[in-house]
Amino acid sequence: MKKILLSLLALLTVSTFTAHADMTFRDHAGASFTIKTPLTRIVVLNSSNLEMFLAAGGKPLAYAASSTTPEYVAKQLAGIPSVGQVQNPDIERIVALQPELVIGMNFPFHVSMVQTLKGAGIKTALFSPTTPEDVTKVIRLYGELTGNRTKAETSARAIEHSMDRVKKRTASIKKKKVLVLFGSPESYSMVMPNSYTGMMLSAAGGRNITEGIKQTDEKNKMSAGFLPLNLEYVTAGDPDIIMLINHSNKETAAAGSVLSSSPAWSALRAVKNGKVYNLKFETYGINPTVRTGEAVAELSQMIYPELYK
Amino acid sequence: MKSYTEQDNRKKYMTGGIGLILLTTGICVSVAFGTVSISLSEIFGIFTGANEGGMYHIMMNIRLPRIITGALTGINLALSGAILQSVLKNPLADPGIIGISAGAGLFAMAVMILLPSYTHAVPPAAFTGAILTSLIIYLLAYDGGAHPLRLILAGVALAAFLGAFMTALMVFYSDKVQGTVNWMAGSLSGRSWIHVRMILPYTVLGLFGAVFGSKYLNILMLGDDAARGLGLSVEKVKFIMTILAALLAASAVSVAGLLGFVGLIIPHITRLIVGSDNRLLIPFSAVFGAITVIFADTAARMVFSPYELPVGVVMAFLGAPFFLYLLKRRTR
Repeated sequence: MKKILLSLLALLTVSTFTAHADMTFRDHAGASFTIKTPLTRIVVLNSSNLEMFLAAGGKPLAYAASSTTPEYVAKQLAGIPSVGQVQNPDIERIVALQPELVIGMNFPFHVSMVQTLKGAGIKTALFSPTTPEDVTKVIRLYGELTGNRTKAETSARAIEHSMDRVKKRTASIKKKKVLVLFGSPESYSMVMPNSYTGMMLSAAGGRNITEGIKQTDEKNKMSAGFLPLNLEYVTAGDPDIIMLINHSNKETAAAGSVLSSSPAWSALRAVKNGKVYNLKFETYGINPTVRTGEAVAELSQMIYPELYK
Repeated sequence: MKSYTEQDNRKKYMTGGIGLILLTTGICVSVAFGTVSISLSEIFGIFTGANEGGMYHIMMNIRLPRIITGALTGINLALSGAILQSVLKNPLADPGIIGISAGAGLFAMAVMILLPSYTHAVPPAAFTGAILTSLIIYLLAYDGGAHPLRLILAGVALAAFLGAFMTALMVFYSDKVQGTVNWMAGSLSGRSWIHVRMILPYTVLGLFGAVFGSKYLNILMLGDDAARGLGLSVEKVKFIMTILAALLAASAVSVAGLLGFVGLIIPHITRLIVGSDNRLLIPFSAVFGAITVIFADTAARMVFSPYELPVGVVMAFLGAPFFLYLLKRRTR
């Protein structure tokens, strides 16, 4: 009995100790933070960070709304106040909420807010994960910030496990050549290997036909990850499969019809064989963060249906 | 007097000759060079029907239609600009001034962002937007007659109004803007025979119309009152020529996106070379428009190959300094 009491006491001191621990971390804009955890009042300003934050077991104090917020995330946000649009959050409302931390994206609209919020004594951390590893790191970080380490670990593990499974499945097969196009037929861009979608493609076991093109801008990976379509390059590359990300989430039945009606496309082997698929914008047009594991598995099944029978 | 006309004629033939040589060179160069290198013997094989492999497809379905689309786009935009500069008696007039870019831009962008499943409808949407906007501007400016200054002001105001909607779309759907940037900058990437078929009727109509109308444009240049005194039905000519310019520019924009530069600068460059007689200015503008787009697009394809630049970027980058050089030489 005494032993149990003692160990309980020990556990209590440990947990109270961690509860008031100073945590130091660095955000993706390079700023360093030292904060007492766990935090309970956090405002999250964009969709992908919200998704990771919720997956890490956090409950935001308020959030900024976006048209790209997936439905399941929107459901979890019911009843939580909004502070405006992602591109233009209401700074006055944020300050009035007195958050301990604001989490945003490393892009101009949020970078420009950092100083203003600092003036009001509010810290702003910016996270824009550009690789699947970044995603799991950020989820674990959010778990530590909000004191939900176990929940965050489970979420991060789930992503890693799903990707590992796909990696094992596709390890020894002959890789198919894939071209992923983003945009509309009048304005297609090719998805490059260093974009998030490109990384998911290679994780899914596909060989991106654009991998031979050198990319100069390594820093700004998400936006450097698209190149204007070069049809001659594509024709010479002769992809096995073409995947289209348009801005709609709807599955249009005839993905190939857009391409097969154009003589510039119709002679391509992938188009002739009907190997043209639509990819959902919600998952592949933006960083799907928490859903990366599922997305990679889905992509792999589309490319290698024979492997998953 | 006689020697003047002779000198004039010689200049005319020389410019025409140089223009045709440049055009032929441009077409040959752009046919010969691309991301995929095709040897001369292969090219010969393709055009004689001996070669029907992958190279045949690259040449006949990708490279060639793109070059033709580019040339026709250049012709249409340059003609449109030349006509408008005469009708509006304003050197700064270009298809943008009668709302072509704003109308086409807003409609195309709305389709690409809001109705992504209907992206195949971008060319007709852009065309409709352009024509609709230019008609609205004409109606707004019409008051017993379409006074050039009123047309220009109405155009600027409406362009600003539509521009606000475009900016709003970009802000609210910033994540989807990436898919529209190439179109907004003007690009010939992926253009094929469908696009040639779309634009060709307007080029034919426009060329005939503009060449036939050039003498009326000359009379218009004398001023509305003088033209009326010479027996010209000023309003009718103005309206028909404006509509023709709108059709030309709208068809060009609908296949190539917002290519802003050609319509403004090419007529000027041509004017600096052949003078402002519309009977020369109109056909030469067409030739130089085609040359400019063909060369610019070849550069766009080749400079950072396989990275393709939007042709609009190359055109402004090379063309604007050249224009400034001509201007400087002329004023000296």
